[in-house]
Amino acid sequence: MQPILAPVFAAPVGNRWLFESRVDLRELIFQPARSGPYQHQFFDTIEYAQVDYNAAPWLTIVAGRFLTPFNMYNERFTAVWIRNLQDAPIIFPVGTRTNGYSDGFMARGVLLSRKEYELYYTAYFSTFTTINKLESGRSAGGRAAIFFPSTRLELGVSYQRLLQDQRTNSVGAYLSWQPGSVPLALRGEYAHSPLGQGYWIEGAYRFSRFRGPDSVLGRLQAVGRAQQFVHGTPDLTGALPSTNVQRAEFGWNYYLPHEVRLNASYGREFSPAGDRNVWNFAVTYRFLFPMFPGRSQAQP
Amino acid sequence: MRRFGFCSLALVIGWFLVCVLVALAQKPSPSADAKPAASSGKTALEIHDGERLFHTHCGRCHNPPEDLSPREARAVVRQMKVRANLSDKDERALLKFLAP
Repeated sequence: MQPILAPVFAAPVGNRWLFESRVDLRELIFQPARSGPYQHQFFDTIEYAQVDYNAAPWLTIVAGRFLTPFNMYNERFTAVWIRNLQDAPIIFPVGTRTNGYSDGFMARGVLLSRKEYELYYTAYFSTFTTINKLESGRSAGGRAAIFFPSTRLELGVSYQRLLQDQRTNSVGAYLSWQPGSVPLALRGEYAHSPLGQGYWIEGAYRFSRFRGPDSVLGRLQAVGRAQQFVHGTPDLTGALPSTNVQRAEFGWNYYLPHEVRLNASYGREFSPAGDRNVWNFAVTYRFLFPMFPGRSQAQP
Repeated sequence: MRRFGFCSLALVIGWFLVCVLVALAQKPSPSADAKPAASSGKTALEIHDGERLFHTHCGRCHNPPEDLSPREARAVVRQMKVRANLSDKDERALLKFLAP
């Protein structure tokens, strides 16, 4: 069991600046032996603390600690109130250097914007740091994606070059599709590095067509995800499995009013090291409040 | 046990393919999950633009937040502007939709 508090701070300044950060505070309560006493351990992590400057419509400069933009999961779905299944994909450490955070600079924006399609890009450099709570490795990388607004289909590729130790390359590709005709989300990622390669695909269907999204049934969402990982050279950090792994997961999300969500999922993992069940039950609650008194006008 | 593993994977992949087929079989229609927006003081067209933008960009990852005040909406939309690569015009339209 692990209660998690993940406060997000966002402070827009003027029309071009934004200061934002997210911290993850969690208490892990576990039982080392089946019949022994419970123990607990506290973890606090600065996930991002960055300054964004919107220099031009096609360029936003980011400085500070940011989520490594490799494929789509790290930037978009690591927030506990957004992800459909609570466990991160097995291939998550590939391209994100295990922890998913970078300290340095990033440039991002829309390279081309047409009615039919949009081209996105992201390029970044992360420095090596051992500062407590801000640990990061030296790396550089980028991501490019094309998005088709009419079909809500996005295809992207990622690259990362680790600029220390073994200087390895990681490459990835992803797909995200939310057809406008049905409340359905289809996503998938592939990632490859010398440590291994793998993929995950996920389909989520919300029953909002049954008497609307606020009906008893309309608040329900079914999720399924399949993953496969083929190991490469041993990962000394232990973040990636040391054997080939397959995992199938099924889950249900129930969206209650007032931003409360219930989540339950079951997964079965298969590997030469031994098969196992993966159960998850979660309750997430998201709320917002202004930190300081100020103007009530929203328009910049 | 290995056969069971393949069966489970096949089941999930089957679920994925069923989702794809269901999506392909449906005709496009307006968003069913979009948040109904009030129209106090703003034109319906501006709010409709914001709703469409939310459906196209933000709604790909999450549902619309409930009951945002104008100040909260400004901070949230600015943050999403970076994440979702939105333009200034999109930012204004989303603000009108989320906090009319």
